[in-house]
Amino acid sequence: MSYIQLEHISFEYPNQTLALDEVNLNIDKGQKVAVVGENGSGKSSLFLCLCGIHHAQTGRYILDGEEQKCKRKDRNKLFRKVGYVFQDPEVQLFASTVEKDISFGAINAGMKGEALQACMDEVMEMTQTHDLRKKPPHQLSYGQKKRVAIAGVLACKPEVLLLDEPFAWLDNQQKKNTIQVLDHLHEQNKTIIISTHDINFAYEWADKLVVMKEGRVLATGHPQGLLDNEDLLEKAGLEMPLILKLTKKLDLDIRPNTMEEFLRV
Amino acid sequence: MFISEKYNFLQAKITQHPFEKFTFFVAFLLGSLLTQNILSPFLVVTCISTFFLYHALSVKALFQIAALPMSFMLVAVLSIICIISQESFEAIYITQIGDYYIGFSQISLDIGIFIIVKAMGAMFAFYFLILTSPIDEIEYLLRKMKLPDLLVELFVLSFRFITILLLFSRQCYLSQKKRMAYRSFSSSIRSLGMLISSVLIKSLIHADFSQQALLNRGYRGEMRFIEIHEPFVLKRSIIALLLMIALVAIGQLRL
Repeated sequence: MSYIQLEHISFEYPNQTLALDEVNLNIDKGQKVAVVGENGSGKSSLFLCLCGIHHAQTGRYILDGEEQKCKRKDRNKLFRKVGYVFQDPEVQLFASTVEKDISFGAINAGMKGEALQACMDEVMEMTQTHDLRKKPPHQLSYGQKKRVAIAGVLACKPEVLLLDEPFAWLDNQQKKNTIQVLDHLHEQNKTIIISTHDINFAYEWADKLVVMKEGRVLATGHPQGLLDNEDLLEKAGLEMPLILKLTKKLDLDIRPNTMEEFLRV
Repeated sequence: MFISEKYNFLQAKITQHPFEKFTFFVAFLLGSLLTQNILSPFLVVTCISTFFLYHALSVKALFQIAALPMSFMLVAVLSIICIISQESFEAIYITQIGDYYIGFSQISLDIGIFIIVKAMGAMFAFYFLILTSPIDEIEYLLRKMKLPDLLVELFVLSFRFITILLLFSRQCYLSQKKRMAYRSFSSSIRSLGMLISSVLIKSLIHADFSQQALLNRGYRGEMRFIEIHEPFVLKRSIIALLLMIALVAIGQLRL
């Protein structure tokens, strides 16, 4: 049985926009999942349903063998299991200092005293935000805000981490740092689900790819298998990853996982 | 940019417990307000200015922050100094315009100077607090003063989100300006209206997302944060208390 199971999930906004249409999805514990698709394909709505902020009008959402009713009481339990890092860190950071913002979720999760301090030290070290702890959020750069936003969610110790466009507007170094954080979390057997437009990253990083269009899941599977399918890519409005383009151009039989592997070949 | 942000190096240097800073603030404030002469507020201004200069605030910056409230104060004090009467009066300077006599007397001038020095003392006391205490320490003090949580949270959220809205307004204004939106009076009015409405819409959308983010981190109607401060030193607060008594006593002298 999968750790996350979505069965025929549909969600419609009050203005009658159908954001999710009969979505079926299975995700195992510890998996690295990339959700790709055009703007407005339902990626953010899917995330909001997964973390319990939106609750689907139809279908079943099962997390760790427990069906989520997404009532107020369930939502409070759900936030400890599923953390959501918003695309825009500005909406997430609200406290007067970085340290306080990070502590907010941890205190709500019931931590106090030494446990709270240890948890904060751990996430601040992981996200390299220790030096920023006394600063007010509006004095930070965009990349720093993004790191603090991730730290604030990690402090709740979620088992599943949802990241909406984690690399948007980040420079190359910040992107590498974020990937390091994701890899570190993966080592802790956390389930990581990200939505991204960076198809090259999705190809190299993910164990599982979810392709979405107009609120529906077009396909799920290993990125190597899916992103080779030109019909699917055209239908979903996606581009083929650079590695696959090059291997096709060079008529290679193998499909390298990363650019380093490709260069070695 | 807020004045407390502009000179935030002072906040980084002065790391004493917020309550100690607050006791000094109260000493300076009461020393400036409970006075019958200009000596006590003058001492407060001198004391705080020396403190700022000692902690590497430049003389130029000190004059800049002192000049900030000056325009408001001068306008207010001018109405006290200036006497307008239909009858002539004993004055240092007087002039007749039509049926009216306008001028100022020794008493009105003394009152004006007294009020302006007193106000400067109180203003410097507030500068002392905001330039030495970061926003989280102010928040801590407000909570300790048992202010309702709702007001404290509103204060924190307003301070945080006003910076975002100011930044957004500035970007919006620049984008309008680059498209000649303010070339005439009528287009300026129209553009300003559009700017205000877009800021309002942005703030509503932002509030919606922020609420989702809060709920996602377990918000249940109460905001609780970690509190880490330097240990409270009673000795320094006693010094502040003695300073307050001395300033109030000096303020009662008839010079």
